[in-house]
Amino acid sequence: MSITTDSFIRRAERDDLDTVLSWMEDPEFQFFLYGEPAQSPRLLRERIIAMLGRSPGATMPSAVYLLIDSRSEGLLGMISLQNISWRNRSCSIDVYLGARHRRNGMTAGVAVYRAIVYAFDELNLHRIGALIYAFNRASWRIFERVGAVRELTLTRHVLRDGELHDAYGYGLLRSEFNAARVRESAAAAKISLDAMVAALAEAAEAAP
Amino acid sequence: MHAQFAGYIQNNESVACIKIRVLIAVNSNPPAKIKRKRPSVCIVPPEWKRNQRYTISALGPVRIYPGYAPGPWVGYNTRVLGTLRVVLSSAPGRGAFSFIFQSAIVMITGEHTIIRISEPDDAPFFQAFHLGTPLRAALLDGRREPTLATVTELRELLGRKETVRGFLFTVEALDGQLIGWCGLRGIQIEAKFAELFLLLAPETLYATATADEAMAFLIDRAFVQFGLEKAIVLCLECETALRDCLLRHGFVSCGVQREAVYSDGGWLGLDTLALHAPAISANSKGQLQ
Repeated sequence: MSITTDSFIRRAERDDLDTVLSWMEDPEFQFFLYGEPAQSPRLLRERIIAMLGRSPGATMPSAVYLLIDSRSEGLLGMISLQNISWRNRSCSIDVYLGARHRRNGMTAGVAVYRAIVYAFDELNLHRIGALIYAFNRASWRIFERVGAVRELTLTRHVLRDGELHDAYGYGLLRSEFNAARVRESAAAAKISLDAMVAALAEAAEAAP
Repeated sequence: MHAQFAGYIQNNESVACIKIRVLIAVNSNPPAKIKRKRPSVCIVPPEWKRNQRYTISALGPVRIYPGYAPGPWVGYNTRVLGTLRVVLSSAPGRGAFSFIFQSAIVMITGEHTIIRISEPDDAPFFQAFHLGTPLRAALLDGRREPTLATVTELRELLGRKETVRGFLFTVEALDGQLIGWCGLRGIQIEAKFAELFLLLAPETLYATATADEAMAFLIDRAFVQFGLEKAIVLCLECETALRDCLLRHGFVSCGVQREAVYSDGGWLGLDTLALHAPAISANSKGQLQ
């Protein structure tokens, strides 16, 4: 299935550091992603710097960081494929959108779809997992839409604002994603632009 | 109010006596919080024997310094001499409190096992777990790959930090034979949960009282000593004996991560089982008494 949007994903570079660090100051960044109390902002900053400073072309990396970029608006967000196991051909995925106005749109869904395609078709992975907090409904709905299965329900697992919340573990196998892709492509073929134009022309001719 | 002493026996050759270093933990009921106080040292008569139980009316000048958290109380130079149980029948000026000193932090002598803090010399035994088959979930790293630790690495791990040593325990049979390894890791203080692991060899031991005793010890460490509210254990689909043992102790599956681990030419699912504090069975608690 071909998806054309203004946004695209690419590898993170050192020049992206300032933007990524500015996202970290957003309270929601820590709330939804890296809010472990044991991890200080300084440690988090060092982690980001280390990840963007990783030498390019390193073989068998344990993590791949992708940025969601836009020709019109610049950097929009970040996707990280972490804990990559080349033995198990698996990884975990995190998604963050720095541009708030894009959070409820198609941007995240399309970027996640592309990152999954990259992980399965280019990195030859077999499984993608994600641990998502239950209150982050928008995020786990995206994973459900691409065919991921909720495998784990960890009750009272993460502390936010003094309360313990549940967390969900999602898993997506390559075979499941491929099957979903075939289904989506078949559905998309029926709604091609040519068919729509032809249908409109027929309707216009048929009209009195 | 219930207070509990924990500590270890230290051989102080310079003064030719045995010292008990006492760490006082004041538990609330239910035991949600444990306040650790400053350890105090008192000298007990040298004729006291190891693995015996003694009752004393007062435990010398035990001073409590509020807010002082000494951390793990096992030092590098500690040589474990044995298990010593001391019951303090009353505390001066405090009424009829019952304080129990247990050296269980260092060693528990149960009906079927001896559980003690792991020592660097245990490294060769632990490495056998890494080399053996089948794969064990407890020996997978964050990427779910086997760690394949060497003896040297394990030796360093067990001797490196007091914090690490305080959470890793060796399980011995009553005759001193090493039969297992267990402990807590990934403790999340804020969210009050930790991951437990229990490795026994041979696997048939998981169906015996040996496993039950070790598991009861871990559950006690997690929920009573540390005041956690949840314990998690990872278990591969092929570890059926371990899974049965966990179910016996009230653990409930949170779900299986499908095809998460590749081993022996095929995919294995990774089950996550959890036990919440209110679900601790009276049976598990009873085995610790």
